[in-house]
Order: sequence, then C-alpha cells, then structure tokens
Amino acid sequence: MDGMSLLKRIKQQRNLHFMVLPGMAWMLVFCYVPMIWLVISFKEYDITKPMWDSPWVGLFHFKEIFSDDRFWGVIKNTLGISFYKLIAAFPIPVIFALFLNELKNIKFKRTIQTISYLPHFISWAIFGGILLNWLSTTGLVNNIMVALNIQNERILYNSDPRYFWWIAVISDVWKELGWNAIIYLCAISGIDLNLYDAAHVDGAGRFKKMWHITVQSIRPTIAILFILAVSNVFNGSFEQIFVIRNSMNLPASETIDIFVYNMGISQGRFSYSTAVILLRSVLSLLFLLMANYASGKLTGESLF
Amino acid sequence: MSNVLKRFICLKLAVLLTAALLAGCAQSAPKKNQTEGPVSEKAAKTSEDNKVLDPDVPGWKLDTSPVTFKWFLDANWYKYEWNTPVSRYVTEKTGVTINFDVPTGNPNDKLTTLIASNSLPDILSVGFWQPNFKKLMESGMVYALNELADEYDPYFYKVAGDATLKWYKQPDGNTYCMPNEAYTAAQMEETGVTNANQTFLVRKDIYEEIGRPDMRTPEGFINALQMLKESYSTYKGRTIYPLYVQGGNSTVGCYGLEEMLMNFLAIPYEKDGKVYDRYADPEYIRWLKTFRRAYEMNLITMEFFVDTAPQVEQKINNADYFCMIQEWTGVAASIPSMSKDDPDIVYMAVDGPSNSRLEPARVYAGSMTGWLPVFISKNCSKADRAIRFLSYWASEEGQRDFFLGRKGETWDNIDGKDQLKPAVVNDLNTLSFDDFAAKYGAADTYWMLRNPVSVYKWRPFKIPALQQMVDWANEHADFSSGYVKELNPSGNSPEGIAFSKIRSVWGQTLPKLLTAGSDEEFDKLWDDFIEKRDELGFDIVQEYMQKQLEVFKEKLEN
Amino acid sequence: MDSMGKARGKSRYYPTSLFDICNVAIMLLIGFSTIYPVWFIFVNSIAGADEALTTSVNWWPKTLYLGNYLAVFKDGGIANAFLISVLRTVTATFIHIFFTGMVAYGLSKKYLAGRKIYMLIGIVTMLFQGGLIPTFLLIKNLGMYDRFIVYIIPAMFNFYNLIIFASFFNSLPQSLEESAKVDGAKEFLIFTRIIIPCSKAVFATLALFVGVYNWNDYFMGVMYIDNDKLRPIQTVLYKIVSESAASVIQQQAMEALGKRISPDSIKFAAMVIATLPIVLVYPFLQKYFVKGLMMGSLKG
Repeated sequence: MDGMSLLKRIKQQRNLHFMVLPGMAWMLVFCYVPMIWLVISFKEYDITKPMWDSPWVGLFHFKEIFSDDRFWGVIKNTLGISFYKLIAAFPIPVIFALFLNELKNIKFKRTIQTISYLPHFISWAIFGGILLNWLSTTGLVNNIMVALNIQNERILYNSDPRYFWWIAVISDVWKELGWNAIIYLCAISGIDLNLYDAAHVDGAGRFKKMWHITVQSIRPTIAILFILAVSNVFNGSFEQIFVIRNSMNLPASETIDIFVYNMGISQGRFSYSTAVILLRSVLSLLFLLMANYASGKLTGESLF
Repeated sequence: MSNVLKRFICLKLAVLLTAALLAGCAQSAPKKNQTEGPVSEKAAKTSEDNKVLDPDVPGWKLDTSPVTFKWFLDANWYKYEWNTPVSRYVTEKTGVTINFDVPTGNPNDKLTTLIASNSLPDILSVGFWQPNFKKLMESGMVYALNELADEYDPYFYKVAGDATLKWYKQPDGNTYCMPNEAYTAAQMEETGVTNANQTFLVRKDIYEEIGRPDMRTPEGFINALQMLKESYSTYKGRTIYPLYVQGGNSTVGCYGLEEMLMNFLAIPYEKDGKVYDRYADPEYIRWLKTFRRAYEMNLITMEFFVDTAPQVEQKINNADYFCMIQEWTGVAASIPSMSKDDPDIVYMAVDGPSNSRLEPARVYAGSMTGWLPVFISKNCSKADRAIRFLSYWASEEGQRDFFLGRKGETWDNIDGKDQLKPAVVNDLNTLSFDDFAAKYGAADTYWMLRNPVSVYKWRPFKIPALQQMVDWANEHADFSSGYVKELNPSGNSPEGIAFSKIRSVWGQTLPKLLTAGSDEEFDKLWDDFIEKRDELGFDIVQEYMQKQLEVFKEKLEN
Repeated sequence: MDSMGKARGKSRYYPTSLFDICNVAIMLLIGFSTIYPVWFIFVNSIAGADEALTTSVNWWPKTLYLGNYLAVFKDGGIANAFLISVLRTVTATFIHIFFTGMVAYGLSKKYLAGRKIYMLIGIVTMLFQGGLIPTFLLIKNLGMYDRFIVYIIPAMFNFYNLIIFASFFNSLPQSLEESAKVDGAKEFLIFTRIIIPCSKAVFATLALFVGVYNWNDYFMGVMYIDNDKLRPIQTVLYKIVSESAASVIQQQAMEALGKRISPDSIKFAAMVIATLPIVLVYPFLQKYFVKGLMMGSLKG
C-alpha cells in the first residue's frame, strides 16, 4: 500500500487507534524507559555513580559469557528442562481440561476444578519443602517404591542429576496443572453447544466430538499459548529450581536464572548479569518469531 | 460520550508521555553532587563553637538535645523497636532516638536501591559479606569516621580502639565503618572469651555405649562408624544417621568439609609468610579419602548434601545424627527439645578428625571483621551527634546501659559483681525473648554495636551440656587466625570473578570426590579439579590472598 | 438452569461408560494429589510446637495448637493490611482488565493499520525488562513511591494478558459487531456494550489471573512502600515469616534457650491466612466458565 492510503486508513480507523495508543504509551513509560538501562551490559556499571557516567566496555561482558564453559552447560540445562516441560507440562493441562469437560456431575467437576488449582497458591519455598520431604530416603516415594518391590534400596532421589529434570517437570505439572487448565476451560466454555448437537445428529461418537469440536475450537488458544511457551524456554523457573537444586544434582540443575543469580546478582556484577539477561531476551525473541512463523504456516494461528 | 473519552485518553497519553520523558531525563542527569563535598564543608556549618575538644571527655555529653536518626539494618528479621525501657533510658541520657529501618525482603536489594537513588538513611549496619559493603566505602556516600572523630569527638579514638579503626582502614587512610560483634586478639587472650564455635559433636549416649572410641584417626573413625552400623543403626526407637556436615546444602562448597575440617586437622593458613594452599595439604586429602571410603563401605550417607535446612533442623531436634561437624551454636537451640525425655540424649564435643601427628585442632577464634559494621551516611545532617552516639555505645558505659539497663531497675551490684537482678534473669529464662525484649529491652535486644567480650561478664550462665561445647571450642581457639576471613577475594574484580568460578567448580567436585568408586577415581577427579582451578586463574587468587595476608597480619600485629 | 445444560445434554447422549468411570477415578487421583499439599500445610499450621519441631505431621496432629495463628494476628496491622490488599486488588484488577481489554480489542482487528508494529512493540515488553534499579528510579521519579497509586498504575497493563484477550475477541463471530456498526456505533461503544457482555468467560479468567497476581504480590510493598499503613497483607506476612525464621538465628547468636515457635509452622499459618480469601474467589467465578455464554447472547 502507498503512504497516502495508509494515512487514510489510519484516519478512518482513528477510533480503534485511540483505543490502542494508551496501551502503547503505558508500555513506553513502564517498559521502554527502564529498558534504556539494558545499555549497562555494554558498560561497567557502578551503582554508586550515575548510569551514563560508567565507562563503555563494548562486548566485554558478552565475551566473558561465551568464554565461560559453564555457560553452555547452563544453556543445556535450561533448554533441557524447558523442552521436557513443552512436551509434558504443556499438553497435560489441555488434556486435563478436556477430560474435566467430559465429567457429567457438575458439582464434582467444579470441586475438582477448584481443588486442582490450589497448589498454585503455595509458594515454591513451601511446596519444594514438601516435595523434598517426599523424595527423601524415608519419604513417601521411597516408601511406595520399596513396598511395591520396584526397588530394593532406598534411593536419595534428589541427589542424582539423572532424575533432576523429571523432578522439575513433574513437580511443575503437579503444582500448576489446575491453574494452567483454567484458560482452556475458559476457551471450552465459549464453544457453541449447537455444534455438539449437530455432530450428534451426524452420528459422531464421544471421542470424535472431543477431537473435532472441542479441540478444534480451542485450537487458537492452544496455538497462541504454545508460541508464548516457546518464547519462554530460556526462563528456567528460578524459584522452583532454587529450592530443589543442591550440590549433588548441580550438573543438571544449574539454569540461566541460577547462573545469573550466582555470577551476577549475589556478587553485585550488574553489568554482567544484565548482559546475560539481554542475551537471553534476544534469544527468546528469536524463538518467539520462529514459533510464530511456524505456527502461522502449520495451524494458521499466529500472534501477528 | 465517546468524545469525552477520546479527549480523556488524549490527555492521559500526553501526561504519560511527558512523565516518561521527564523520568528518562531525571535518570540520565548526574544526581549525586552533594555527596562529593568533603566533611569539613558541613563541619563548618554545624560546629560554630569551634573550641578545642578534650579527647578524655565523652563527646555525647556536650549536646543532649533531642535528635532522631534513621538507622538501616541489614537484618530483615529484626523486629524490636526503640520503645523499650532501655531505649528510653538511653534517649533520656543522650537525647538520641533511633528509628530502625528494617528492610522487608532481601536487605541487599534494598540497599542497592538506596545507593542507586542516593537516599541512604543516617546510619547503616551492613553485613561485611554483602557485595554492597565494599561499594559503600568506595562510594563517597558515607563519612570517614576518623574525620568525623577529629572534627567532633576525639573521645571516639579512646573507645573505638586502635585495632578497630585499623582493621577496616582503607588504602586512602580512612576508616568508614565500625564493626559490632568484633573480637580483638588481645581481648580474647586476656579474657578467654572467644567467638570459637567450630566443634566435632557426638551423641553422648551412643558414644559412651560404644566405648568412647578414638575418632581422631581414619581407622578409629571408620571403626566407630562400623560399630554404629552394626549395633546402633536404630537406637531408642529412632533411625540414626551416622554423620552430618554443616554447610552441605550450599552449592559452592561445604563449610564443614572445608574450613572446619581443615581447622580440625590444624592445617596452617600460611607457611613462612606465604599463603598456604590448604586444599592441597596431604592431611586434608587423606581425610577426604577417609570419608570416601566410609561412603563406599555404606557407613555414611550423602544426605547432608541434599537435605534442606528444615529437614536438618528436625533431625537435630531429634538428635538423629551420631556425629556432626557442626558449630555448637547450631545445636544450642535444639538441646531442650532433644533431651526433654532423656537427659542423656545430648551432644558433646570431642576430638574428631585430626592430622597424622594427632595435633590438637585449631579452630577459628573470631576477629575484628565482626558482623554488621556501622556506617554514617553523608545524608545525615547531624553527623556530629551520630559519631558521638557511636562512641557512647562503644564505650564501657554504653555497653552496660544497653546490656543491663538502668541501675537499680534491671541490674545492681550483687555480691560485688554487676549483674541483672534475679527476677530479670528469671524472665530471660522463662519468657520468650520477644516478651523479654518488650518488657526490658536489655540483654541482646540491641546488638548494633555490641562488643561480645565486654558484655560477656554480665551474661547469665549457660546450661552444662552447652558449656562443655563452649569450653572445647575456646580451648582449641586459634587467636592468631583473625585474618582468615579477609583472605578470599570477592566482588567483580578479576580475582573475585576467578575465585567465584573456582568455588562453583569445587562445589560440583566435592560431592563427586566423596562418592567416587575408588581412590584412583578420586585422584583423577582431584587432578582434574586442580587443572581446572589453574585454568580459571588460581594464580591471581593466590596473589590477592598473599596481599591480604600481609595487610591484615600487619594490622593484627600492631 | 443454563449452566446445567451442557452436562444434561451429554448425559442425554450417552449412558455411563467405562470411560466415565476411568475419568472419575483419574480426577479423584488428581484431586487427591493436589489437595494433599494444601492439607499438609493446614495440619502443620495447627500442630503443637513440639510436634512440629521434631516431625512433619502427615494426617492430623496429636495436639492442636493455635499459637501460630495467634502469633500472626498479634501483629496489630493485619486488619489494615487486609483492607489495603482488598482495595488494591479490586481497584487494580478492575482497571487492568478494562484497560488491557480495551487495547486488546483495538489490536484484535486484523485490518488495523500498523497492527504488526504495535504487536512487535508489545511483544518486546514481554521479553525485555529493565530490571530492579531503573524501575525503582522510574517509580521514584514519577512520584509514585510510597503512595497507594504504585499498586495501580504500574500494574494496569500486561501484554501477555492482551494476547489472551485478543485471541478471544478474534473468535467472536463478526455478526455481533456488524449489526452495531450498521447502527453507527463507535468502536469504544461496541467494546463496552457488546464485546464485554459477550466475553464474560475471558474477563472472568483474566480477572482471576490479575486478581491473584495483585493479591499475592508482596514485592511492590517491599520495594516501593515505606509507610506501614500502606502495606498489603502479603508484605506484612512475609515480614512476620522472616522475623520468625530469624528469631532462631538471633536466639542462637545470643544462646537464649527459651521456647520458640517452629518457623515452618508459622510460615504455614501465614500462608493459610493470606491465601484463603483469594482462593475463595474462584468457585464464585466458575459460573462464568460453564455457561455457553456466547450462545446465550446470540440466541437471546
């Protein structure tokens, strides 16, 4: 389109633009102004001096990051845990919502719905404590495994890097299952009931309806949330990992957030930790754009 | 209606944009010009009557008009306020009222924002381990205490002591902070009161039943654990865990298996004036291998690396561990709980792992480093009163006022000794400390400038089981080791970064060493670690440590 | 009842099958495993101090003890903090969902000129953040520090929520608006008169998300509030918990061997007190999830 018609269109749509612009202004103030601060990743920032007075150091901090061989282990763990979560923790709430929707007793359905979302309100500090009690040698998991003769000896589960990713993923599903399902339940509630009736007349069975009507109707929601989840793969959930990691599972449990915390924040290295965070943001943006493109091609759903 | 809204939105947009721009400018504008001025500028204003001050006269007596200080505490758990009988007494005497600024959440985060926005309160207590601690001294945002003392209160030198001022003296010749909870070597030697708390503890009843085995040698240690495993893996109805090591839940090493164990083995920090690599000492490796063997033989578990603090606390409350490499302060609070049914269920300090010459342990005794050193910020408009208040608190009189309270009310000279009245001691023992603090405000309610050695003589006695541990630690205290906490580099200097990287690698290596399948595997892991350590810049760390060693040894000697 | 319609509709189609039995069994298992941690926290918050210090209560405590709750309520500011939390949550949530919803409606129109640029601007804010220091300075410079408004304005918009809104608005049938447009209604009126009533489910969902966020947030109260009277309940409880946790440190430091409350139990008690009000909101909101809302509006 040429410039003239664009201007014309904007003028035509001015009412819509007046609805959008306040949001843009808000973001300008509360997001973009603080974002100026990201330039300290190219500086050596000292909190006792004004930010612009600190010296420029170019890509020094980024070189430092890439020359640290622990960084690659950190990337591996972060992506590993996120990948497990995309495969397991992303679809389970969808399935849960679908099955919940099939319950016939409305009271039972509401009760389960409410109960399942409760663990979301428990902080990781407390939830992690319960989890680690269950995983200890005298804990529930060992008691069950020994009673069922699956294992002979009591295992210190949380000491073994091999188990760690699974512990992280399963506990995350356990805690957030009900909460994450809310959005799908909301989407399901918007489905036109006539569609089911029509399908019934066509002789569709239960699973057919589940797949062809329910899943297809909430597909846009699933696609959008999946794109957002992909952009989130570089954010290891700090609070969770911080609680359940220890020196024995460290080879599998050191994620970007922990790395930033250890190498930057706890030592007051603001520029360095900001550089890691900036790098992570850039990578996240790339992932989001890729996922958005792929989703647009495959499912027809995209953010823009 | 939509027109009204439209106008409203336009207006709001304009306001927000302006605000954003303003904010952007405000941030980038230089902001801290008033902090740069030297002390004397302000001094000229505040002390018009510039007469010569007598170093023997307490400065705080010169002016007791009311003044209020806001005092930042790097302790988000502190909950007592300046409204107790003791604080009222102090206010009455000095005119000073304190308004404690206790952060919620992470104190260091709060301090960071206070520094970055240049809004420090009048006085600050900041932990020596915080990244912001050194920052404060370099920031130009706090007064040099020696300059303030020269100007307003020469008496400060008398009570703060040379040692204190020297310890935190910066290369620019100034001292910016004054530690609380600090121990000078001279005071420790004179009084026998130390901060030593590193102990090897065993559960008394079991230890005696297996015949008080000698656990100083690897053979004896393994032997004792073997006896435990054979006959006492459950005892008095509970599962017994063979060993606990303090600090295992850290991911950058394990305090109990490093500093404490090395101190038990009497490994020196220096040899012939050169800083000594304690990790490479054969005695240390010999004991790590002993632990490895004990693990291989199923005599100990690695639970101490995995258990969370509450899990450990529960086990200690139940006395579930047979032996512990643990500071006695960490079990003190648990003794009533573990021995409430059976007085024999209690821990005692014994000689644990020792070097092959069976030399006695040399544990850390305490130093001038202290706990939360105190700063006076340049935002304090009454710096003269602040420095005088610090010297008041640091003086014997201040120590007594804060610990004992007002004479005749909470304390008296009984049997020729200044002490709390029996009724007060009884309350200290029976009330919760919160209630005690609210009722009296004495004892340990206010510790911001407490001198532990000075107040020791006023403390009521301890329970015997604890006293045994205290005595053991005091007997093995190494008074010459005051500098050791100052050796490790920190912050974002090259050596600080190298050091933290080495710590991280070590944190991963240590559990692997103990769980290695054989001594050969152990050696291989060890060699890998040493190689990695050199690669990460161990030499610059050593250089820094050497420099610190020289600086602080000199400070100790004079 | 409309809300029963769907369920009744289904049972009309099928008799109870093996699938239903398995489904109920799985749901019971999930229900049990998710309620257990909550139960654990509750029973440990009412366990006697001795018991809590030496063991974890799994089902029911041997002795009941309400001292943890008393310890929390002993702090006189709780009632005020509760009021602040309610005020803050209600105001901020209402403004947030209205404001974000409005922007989202504008952006949900695929034909909007410059939509891609707007979206990109927004997406960047989800992924790039300035951090603690600049945000603190911004709040200070805007004059919001230590004022109630700091709970409202900085929390009135979120692009993630906008995306969820927009994807729902997109799925609304075009016919809804077209009739209004024919009548000459402006977009803002369409949004308030037609879109909001037809999107109760998404508004309820996001009100829940935002409400829970606002209620649970203690950080604003930590970072930007000095005045005790303006602290929300989560900040106050956070403070009580950290004080209790460290009274152990302090007691160790001074070798006082008095009675003490197990810090974990007080943490649990604080959690129960702080989350109970917000947890109770969900069952209330659930009615907006069950109805076929759009259906109702289309038919009616």
